[in-house]
Amino acid sequence: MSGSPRRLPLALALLGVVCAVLVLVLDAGQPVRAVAGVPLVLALPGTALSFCLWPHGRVNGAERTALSAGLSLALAALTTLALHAVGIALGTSSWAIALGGESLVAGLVATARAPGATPPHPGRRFRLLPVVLAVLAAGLVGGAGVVTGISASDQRDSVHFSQLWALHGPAGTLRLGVRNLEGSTQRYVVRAQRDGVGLRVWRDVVLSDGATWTTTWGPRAGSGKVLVTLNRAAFGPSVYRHVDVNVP
Amino acid sequence: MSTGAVRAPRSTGAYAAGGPRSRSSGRAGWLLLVLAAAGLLVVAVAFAGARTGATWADPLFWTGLLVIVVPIGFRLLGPDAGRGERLGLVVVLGLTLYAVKVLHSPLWFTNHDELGQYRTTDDILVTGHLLSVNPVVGAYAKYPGLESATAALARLTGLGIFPSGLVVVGLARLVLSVALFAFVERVARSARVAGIAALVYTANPNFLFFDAQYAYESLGIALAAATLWTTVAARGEEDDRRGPALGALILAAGTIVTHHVTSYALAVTLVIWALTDLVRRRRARRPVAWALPLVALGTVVGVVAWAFVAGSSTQGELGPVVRGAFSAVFDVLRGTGQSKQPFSTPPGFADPPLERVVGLTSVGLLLVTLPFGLLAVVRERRRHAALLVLGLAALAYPATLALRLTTAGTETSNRASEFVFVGLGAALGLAVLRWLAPRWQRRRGVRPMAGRGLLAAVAGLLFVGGLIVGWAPYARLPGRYEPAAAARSVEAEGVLDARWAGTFLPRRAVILSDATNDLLYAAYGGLDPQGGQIFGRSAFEVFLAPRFGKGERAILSALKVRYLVVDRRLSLALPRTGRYFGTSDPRAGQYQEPLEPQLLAKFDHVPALDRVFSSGDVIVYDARRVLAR
Repeated sequence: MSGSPRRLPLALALLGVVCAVLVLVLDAGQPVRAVAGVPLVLALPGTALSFCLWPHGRVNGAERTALSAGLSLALAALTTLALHAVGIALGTSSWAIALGGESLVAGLVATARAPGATPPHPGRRFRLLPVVLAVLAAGLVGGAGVVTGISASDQRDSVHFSQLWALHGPAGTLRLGVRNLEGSTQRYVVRAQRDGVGLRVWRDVVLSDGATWTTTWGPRAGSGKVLVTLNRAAFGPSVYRHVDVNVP
Repeated sequence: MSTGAVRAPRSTGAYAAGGPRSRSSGRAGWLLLVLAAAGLLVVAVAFAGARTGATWADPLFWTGLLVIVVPIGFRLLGPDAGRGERLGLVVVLGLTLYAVKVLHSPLWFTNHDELGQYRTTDDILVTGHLLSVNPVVGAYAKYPGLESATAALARLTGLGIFPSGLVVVGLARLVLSVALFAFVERVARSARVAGIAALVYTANPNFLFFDAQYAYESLGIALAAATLWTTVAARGEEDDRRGPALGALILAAGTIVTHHVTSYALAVTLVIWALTDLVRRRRARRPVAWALPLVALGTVVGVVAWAFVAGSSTQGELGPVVRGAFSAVFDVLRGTGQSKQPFSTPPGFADPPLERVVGLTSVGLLLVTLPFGLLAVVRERRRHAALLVLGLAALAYPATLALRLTTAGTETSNRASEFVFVGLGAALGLAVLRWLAPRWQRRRGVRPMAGRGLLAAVAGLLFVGGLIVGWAPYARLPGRYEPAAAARSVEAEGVLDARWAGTFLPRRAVILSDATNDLLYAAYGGLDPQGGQIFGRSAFEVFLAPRFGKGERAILSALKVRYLVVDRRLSLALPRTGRYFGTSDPRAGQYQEPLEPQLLAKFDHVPALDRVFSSGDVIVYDARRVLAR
């Protein structure tokens, strides 16, 4: 490849700005933001700086990659520290502006420091075998990922339980909650009682797997703990979970 | 035209390797990549079996690891590979072994340090500030390099802390692999020595799991290696040393704010190297190269300055460990202390005899070959001033083994291995090239291949032995839940219960719990686990006492414990780690029976405790009425 070594640092500087802007304008959770955020933290500042410190042609590809990654990680840590030191809260805008700014400045300095035109590299002949072997390796690694994903998910999903809680709320109220982690939809009955006397029943609390039910309830004043029990409708009257709290 | 700043150095004499591309260069490397991927698949199948309790999982795990390590070792030991292929193989080896750690715990962090550092990362994201108080290990928050990079990535991408942490540590592993290779290559002036050094380095007991976990040392050691590499590059530069020197200073600064011990080791290494270089240049009447002293001085100043910022947290974490290690060794030497049996396990558990044999054999092999490595370093000392530093690091290996003779010194010895093995790898690489390579070169046919094969097998044995020495059997493979068994105790119910606490309980409320839930509630719940000694008693006597009386109330009040988190599963089995609770567990290493269920159920009968949460196995009690009294 022939051409000016100044193009790449300049492109890095501009890319830093583009990524920072994308991160700032897009909501978290959007795939494009993730795609822009990864190089903004892990690649662009360090790569631009590496072209500043080691101008074009002094480092080979693998070493440039490692240098860029190392410098990016160090810069992410030091930039965060600098923001903290000057009292700027750490968040999307401060990180994006700082890291994008570093990429821009380092990229521009690298552009200025870059040598003139470099002699063209001899073109590499395309070879099929490495491509085939790399695809095969990627397939094996992917297979390892699939095997792991299935077995780890199965193990995680084999644990079935429900959570019941009763927390003190404002002014003598209780914040009750149930979360279904049984792996399937459940029909619950929640009962509150004090000294064996029923205070309140919540029937037909139907929750799909992973869903949560909460309510705030003010029991009548009395002495003794309020006992809250959880039954699963499919398993009859036996108490599945219970909690008890003092409510004045 | 300038010489390449970080370009491959000139290899000479018997050390010439990695120069011109060999006949098979390229093809063999790609085939080894496929083989390493196949080994990874074998490990993944072994882990899948381990999750269901299959007995074949353990041998399959070792087989997979050997498929990854031995063929690459065979290639790195030989003369055929070009420089680029060697570097590529070192990267493949490093990243494949990192992938093993990821496949071990693919859903969430499971190790002590990982969960502790998750907490600091979460604190940064929640508060928008650094240097908060970490309730697990104070130093985590005071050395926030890893957490800062992870928090920035998580915030800017919208990814969670877990995937962001995996990416950051994976990238650190890439940096470590390349930097270690490039540094040793520069110093030894041989890509072959560098490849062998990287191979031996993987045999350090912490390489597979400890230095691949989401913890500050994993990033710190990568940045330190990159600092050494760029420093050696700056020193060798002839027309412009400013760039590499500035790069080295930035990387050193990154190391300093990331991990205390690594930054100390880096500073000591640079100072010894700079002094050696100074003496050599005076003797040779050559001008002083300013890049190396500048980086050394900058690093020392940075380490001292950051020690003031970190304050007492570093001393609090390291002080007892180091003091305990050395005083225990002196006690043993004086005959006033008891030495520790190698491979000692808590009551009720035993390591397989074969593992003991392999572990001891690997240590013995390193001790036997070390003199040859040191001799090679002495013979080749004129090649580079940093060779002496690497030789000193290798020389420290037997001393670190001595620390293993005591219980208190084992951790220090274990932690030292990732530094010592840099020197050990380089020294053994030089020894191979000095004593064995010329013999292989002179002979043709099967014998040199057999010799290399034998040496590759030894490399595999060193790797397996290192893992056996450094990582407990129950922690090597995933598996079914076990109480107080480190990573094996982290499962869905505990994690989801802790996340519930993070949603519904006040952040930074103080809890008292067992060792596993301490970490889970600190990481995912944002709560502050408490422990230690109070009124001359361990705080965990609250759990071990047969009844909840005045003494137990006093402990909760004094420690301001708002919530008790009780995991009923602690009564199911003996603790693999030797203790159910934190480091101040009063019965650590002495449990002969699992905890009695009544000890854990007694809190149900305490009127002042509100049972506010239940998931079946885990119960949370609100102790605010105890605190109000």
